[in-house]
Amino acid sequence: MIMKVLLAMVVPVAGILIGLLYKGIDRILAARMQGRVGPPLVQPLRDVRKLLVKENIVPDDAVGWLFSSMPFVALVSVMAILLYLPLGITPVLEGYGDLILVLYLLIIPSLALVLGGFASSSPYASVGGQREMVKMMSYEFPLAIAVISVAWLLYSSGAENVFSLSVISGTHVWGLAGIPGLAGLAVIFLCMLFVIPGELGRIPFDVSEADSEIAGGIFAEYSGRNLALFYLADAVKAVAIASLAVALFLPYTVSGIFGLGGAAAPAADFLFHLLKVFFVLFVSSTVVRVVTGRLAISRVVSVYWKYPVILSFLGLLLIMGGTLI
Amino acid sequence: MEDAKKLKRLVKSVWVFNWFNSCGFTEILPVVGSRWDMERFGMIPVASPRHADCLIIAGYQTEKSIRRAQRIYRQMPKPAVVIGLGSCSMSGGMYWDSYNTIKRLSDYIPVDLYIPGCPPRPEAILKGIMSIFREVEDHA
Amino acid sequence: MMEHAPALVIAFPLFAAFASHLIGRLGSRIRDIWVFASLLLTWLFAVFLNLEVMQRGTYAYTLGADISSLASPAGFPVRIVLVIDGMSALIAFMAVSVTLASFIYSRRFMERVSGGGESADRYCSLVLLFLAGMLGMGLTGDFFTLFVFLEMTSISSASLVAFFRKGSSFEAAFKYMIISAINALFLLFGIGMIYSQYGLLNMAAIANEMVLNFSFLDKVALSLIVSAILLKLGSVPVHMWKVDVYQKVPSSVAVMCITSSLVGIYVLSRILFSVFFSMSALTGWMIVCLGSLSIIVGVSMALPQKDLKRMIAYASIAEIGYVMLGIGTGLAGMSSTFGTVALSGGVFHIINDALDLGLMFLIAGAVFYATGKTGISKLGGIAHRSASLSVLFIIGMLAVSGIPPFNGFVSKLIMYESVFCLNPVLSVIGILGSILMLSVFVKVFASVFLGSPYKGKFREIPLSMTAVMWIFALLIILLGLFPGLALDGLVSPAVEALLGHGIYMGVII
Repeated sequence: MIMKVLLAMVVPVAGILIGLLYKGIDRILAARMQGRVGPPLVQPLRDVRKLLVKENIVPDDAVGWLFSSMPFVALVSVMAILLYLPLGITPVLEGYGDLILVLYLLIIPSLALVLGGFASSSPYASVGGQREMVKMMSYEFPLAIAVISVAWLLYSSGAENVFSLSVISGTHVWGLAGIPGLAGLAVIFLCMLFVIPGELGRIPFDVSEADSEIAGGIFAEYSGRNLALFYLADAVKAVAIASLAVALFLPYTVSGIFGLGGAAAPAADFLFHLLKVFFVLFVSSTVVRVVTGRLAISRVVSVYWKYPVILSFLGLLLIMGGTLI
Repeated sequence: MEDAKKLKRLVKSVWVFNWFNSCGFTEILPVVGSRWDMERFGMIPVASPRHADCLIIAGYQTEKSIRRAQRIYRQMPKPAVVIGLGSCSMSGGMYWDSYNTIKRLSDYIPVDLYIPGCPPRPEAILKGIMSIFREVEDHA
Repeated sequence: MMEHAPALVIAFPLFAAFASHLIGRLGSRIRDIWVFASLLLTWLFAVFLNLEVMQRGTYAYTLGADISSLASPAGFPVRIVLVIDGMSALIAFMAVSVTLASFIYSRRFMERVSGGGESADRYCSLVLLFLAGMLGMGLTGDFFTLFVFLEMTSISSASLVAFFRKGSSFEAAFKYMIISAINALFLLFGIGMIYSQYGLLNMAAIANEMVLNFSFLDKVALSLIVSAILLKLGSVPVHMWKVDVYQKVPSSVAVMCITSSLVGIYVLSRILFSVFFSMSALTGWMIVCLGSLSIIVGVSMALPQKDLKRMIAYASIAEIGYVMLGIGTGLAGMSSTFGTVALSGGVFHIINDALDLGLMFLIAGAVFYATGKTGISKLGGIAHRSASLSVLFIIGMLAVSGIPPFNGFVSKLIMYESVFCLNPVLSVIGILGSILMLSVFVKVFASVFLGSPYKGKFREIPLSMTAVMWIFALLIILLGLFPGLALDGLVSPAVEALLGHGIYMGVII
């Protein structure tokens, strides 16, 4: 019990630091890929420290209480998600929440962004808020199909309690349904990787924070401490969604291979989990953002509702076929 | 927190808002780009004045545009730094006897640094920014 | 007297409806006190019914008999028999509580919106008649009284639609009257077929007979009756009346209209679980398909709406679709665990629906009271004038869409995880529907509440209205954080009662 309370305090803070670390790694790698040198690794931490000393401006026409509370809501909700996810170790709040809860909790940070944008009473921020809302509608469809497909695979292979995250991350899903199931699962993994830049608001899906089009979009009126909280929420959200993808599709642990025991096993698993998260973020976020350009908002909806949806339904069919054989 | 400490945090990560309605900006683009990469010093260009720490006013300003530039400066959260880029902000530059450009930027906005040139080369811009960093380090 | 509670709980609002018009002659204060007292008394009767059911289990009440629980003195049921079990007691309790809250809200609302005097007398009588009709539908044990009370509900709600005597209200009321008259004929025809076959009108007795000789004519009667009840619910494909009615009816009555749709769901589940249970696999799938269609249609048609109440009406069509998903899965999987879980999710969603959508309609009414408009494009920036209304709207919006930690999420979670066992695509439709509903409501929230401050006249919202809205919101938060309170106390007895058709039959025969 004491251990749980301690972990519940440590894990979110660790999530913030790890998130900032990943942001730094992402910037260095992107810079090297573009032929530049790139900032030092601790640059995101310096950004946050700088934002905390700046003045916190609330526009006159904005709905003040909503404007200032949304950054808190975003950061708190995304830290809460970390408590339900298996980060190599068993989830801190295991048994209290499951896959569908995490799926819905992931909506809350985006919702906080949208409400904060609308509360800014700036036309740029309203446009950014509408775009973020449309983007959220678009990527939830393939995300829902992907999540339900994995749960269906586990259910049809006879597992109990298929929505519990510790059950999902304890079962190795790739071998459960034969060759068609493997193909289907690979297709669905691809769709999940496609959803991740949309969820995080990275290019090609950063329509809501578009710098060159709408002057910062959702964040146009935010400054100082509020902006720092949104920045941190963005960093932790990357860790959260990547951990979800890892828990669903890459649930392997190293302590079994090396035969570690006692206190070394969770530590080794945790570090391996960080490595897997880095791999997922690198493939889906960093490489894609260097290589592509921003999509227009009308294209975002059609891109998400055509290809990933068709692909993920195809994957679901393949998985269903694989379990029947 | 005293100003010196604040500035010390500020120079580690300067977010730049470029106000350009004239030719001075053409030499800032390479500074953002790959060759004279400014991100290695923690500087990135931002699109909203509310996010910015540093306002770079590049080139000449007309009577109309300086009013907008003043509004942008007021929107920036303090502490903030203003850099006047090019000879036009120092003395009117090429348009020294034009009827509608402004001759000295610091009459309108408190300027922290002038960088001479028409327009200054990227190396000169970086040298100017380094001098701000050094000044802050010396004072801390 | 308390042993006659089942009859009194229907008869008393009926009596109060007619008496309130006479008492209204003496003065509006006395009439308000009379209506409030009679609603309170009815509420106490409903609470007593719930406690009785928790103690005794299912029991029957025969009107006018010496021993009230003896329904079949000669081997077949005579007289009107009311059957009280977990589910009907829950529905009756919900109907009375919602009416009580809506009356407290409506006192100042109607004062401002229609002026006192004659019209307020009419309003009180019609509301009490509406309540009596809902309670009758909820507690009855035979088909013909079901028909009578259904007609009573339709007529009183149609009159309430035409309450503000304007052209558009008359049009909506006329449409509604024609549709519900045709609907009642369908129901009567189906009941007539069953009567001609078995010579009985009592539901449990018919269920007993049907076990032995179920024929093709019974299937025809089933389809007629189910179609008629589906119109009462407002599910696709017979959802068109709902939008006009909910828009034109006074906002406090819109809350009661939602409850009458939920009573319709109760009637549907009663018929399909306790009478026609041999066809449960087929009817279950049918209800599930219609429910998914309702979710999709309700949410997609809510997007382009320009009027606040119409949009909430379309959202209510989608929410009824969710309840139908839960109940249909309970039917289709009647013998398996996931069926029971889905059914409890559906029943819990009935409670949450009444709270969430009720709160949204109350807020729409408050906005209308304060500004006199309901068009989305004409409103804007209300949050600057009334922060508590915006907080209430956020709570209601998150609850309707099913976002944690509010109650909508709990019932939807239960449903997703059990409907998933029937077919995973249904869970996907459910998740997608809730996200789209969230986007609709956020768009409306931004247009109506955020933006530059509202420049028109903004009347202050009276305390009674705000208090009722906050009670709804507090219940939403409470049920979201501690769903066990409702699940153990209210929902499980209802689920057991629905699934135990043997007990239901045994009470009458």
